[in-house]
Amino acid sequence: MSGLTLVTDEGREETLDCDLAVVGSGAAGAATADVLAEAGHRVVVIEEGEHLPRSQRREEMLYALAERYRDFGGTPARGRGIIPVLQARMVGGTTTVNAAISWRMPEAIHDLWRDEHGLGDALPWQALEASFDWLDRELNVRPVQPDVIGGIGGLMAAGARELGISGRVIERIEDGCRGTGRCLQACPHGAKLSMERSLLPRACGNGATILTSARAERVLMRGGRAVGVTGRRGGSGQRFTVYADKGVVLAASATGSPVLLRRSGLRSAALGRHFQAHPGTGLAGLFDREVRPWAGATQSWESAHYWDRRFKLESLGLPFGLMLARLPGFGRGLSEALADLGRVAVWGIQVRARAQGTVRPGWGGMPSIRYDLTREDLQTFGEAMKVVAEMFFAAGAREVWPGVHGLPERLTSPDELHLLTDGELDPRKVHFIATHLFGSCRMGADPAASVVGPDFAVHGAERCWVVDSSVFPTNLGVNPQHTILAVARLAGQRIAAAA
Amino acid sequence: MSWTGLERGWLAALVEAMIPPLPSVPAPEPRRLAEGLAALLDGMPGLQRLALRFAVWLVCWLGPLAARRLPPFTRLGADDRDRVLTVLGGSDNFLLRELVVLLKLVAGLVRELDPGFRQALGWGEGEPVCIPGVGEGT
Repeated sequence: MSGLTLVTDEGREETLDCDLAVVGSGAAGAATADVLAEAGHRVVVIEEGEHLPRSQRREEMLYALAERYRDFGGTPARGRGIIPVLQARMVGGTTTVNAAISWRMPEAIHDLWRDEHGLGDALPWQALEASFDWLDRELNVRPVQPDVIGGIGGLMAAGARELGISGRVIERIEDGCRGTGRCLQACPHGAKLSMERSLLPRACGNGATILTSARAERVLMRGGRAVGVTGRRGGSGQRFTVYADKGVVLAASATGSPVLLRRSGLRSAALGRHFQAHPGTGLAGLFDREVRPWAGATQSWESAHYWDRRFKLESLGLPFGLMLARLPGFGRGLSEALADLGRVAVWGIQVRARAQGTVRPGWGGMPSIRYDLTREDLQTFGEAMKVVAEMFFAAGAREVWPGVHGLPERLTSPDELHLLTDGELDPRKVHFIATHLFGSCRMGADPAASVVGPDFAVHGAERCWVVDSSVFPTNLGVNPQHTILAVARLAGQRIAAAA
Repeated sequence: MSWTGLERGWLAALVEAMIPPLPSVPAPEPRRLAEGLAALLDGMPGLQRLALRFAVWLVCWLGPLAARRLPPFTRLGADDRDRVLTVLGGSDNFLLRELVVLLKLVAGLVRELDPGFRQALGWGEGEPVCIPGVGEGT
């Protein structure tokens, strides 16, 4: 039993009544729904995707992309290059397909928001700490267990140690990981305590209902007050309406929430602007020894040693289909590289980018994202790639495959690493992805420069709140799931009191 | 608009050419390849399917010219197919390069569906490798 109360698409028009409608069932939506339901409110969670029980999750990445990711994992952020934005579309949101990495918000970021972005006491540190403590217990945050750290993470730790780079075994929300490296496909064993396995069943235990396969199109406004949500079911195309007596909570992500507000008629100078991300890329290393990149936790070791220089490093176990695309060459060259598959490791870089983009409604009402990395961001990537390559060689790699157009496919000596920082990196020559999205409905006291106030309420609309990472004034530089959960819990407590 | 049989055939040829057989790398089994391509086209949303279709047409009909060969791609021998993909994949033109990378990604996703292929490459065999001394912060 999933413990979820679901209203699936039965091919008919659906009308539901509740106290509070929550749009989105990812980290923010689940955490808020949990608090609101526990406080006794009647909650309906509206989720664009379906609920896929473990038994229905086919392991191959093609099926995962088709069934569990928005836009096949390729929502494009357009700029000088094209950066795919990875987001899930199923009950539990992106928590189902990430690597469950848990980081508390850096205190320096909290200070920055409080002092330079005018949040003041909106997010009291002590309250956040209390939320983090609760989440640690409830979601079983713990380091990757030694038997599933695997070769990719183990070698990364060894390389870092050689160079005096600090790091740690990754802490995750999981219980019983078998180390099959399938986090990105949604755990087939149910070990990851993503939202459909943790906070959503809690919320449903307190009376919440989840409307699945339901894409919200508009917040219904009456006299400036949010009174419900309307949209269409994904399968049948039938219309649904959820009437919410006490208001509407948006947790549809930094791409979904601004689009929904704009389609609902809200006009604000800051809406959809200041979009930020943690863009990332990966380098591969070829070792003489066996790595078995398929065996072990998807991500097991990380380094925030260079957080002040705005990058973080993580081991990364890719599914077969994506791993193959990361190998060098085409045709025979690619087939030859396949022979080395068992001796390849991929280490990822995520950058606390300075770039700010925009999110607007695009074709069919879907998010249209403009996002261009700054010159400084590209320099940071160059530096980070050099550090990763040095770590590979320090760990004993025979070759490093940078994956940068115009550079040699295979670097065979540390003497060649200057190539990674010589000249300016062109965003069209590297394959970036963007995960961890922020800022498009940023919080602030000044309605002219922000979308929501310190109480999470949308400026200019009554009984309408945004609780996801779109309210974050900046990115974090660390994996944001835990912070999103903690902030959303705080938001839930305030909404529960106000509603 | 659904893909024609001809277009599916071109896509199959491109997937085969992207990962040609070697002694350690088996050729795709035709039935599995057809099933994989059907699953791909069923699962891809419209915009991505359109991009893939564009890539297939472009590589099939203009790609050979970039490698000084006559189109279509499907009439080329193994060496020439290899040459076309390598030239286009290494092109300084961003769009061309990305379209070939899209085909590479598609080839990986489709070939992953064949358990025999994964098995032949050893994917999934054995326990996680243990690196001594890891398990505590460094």
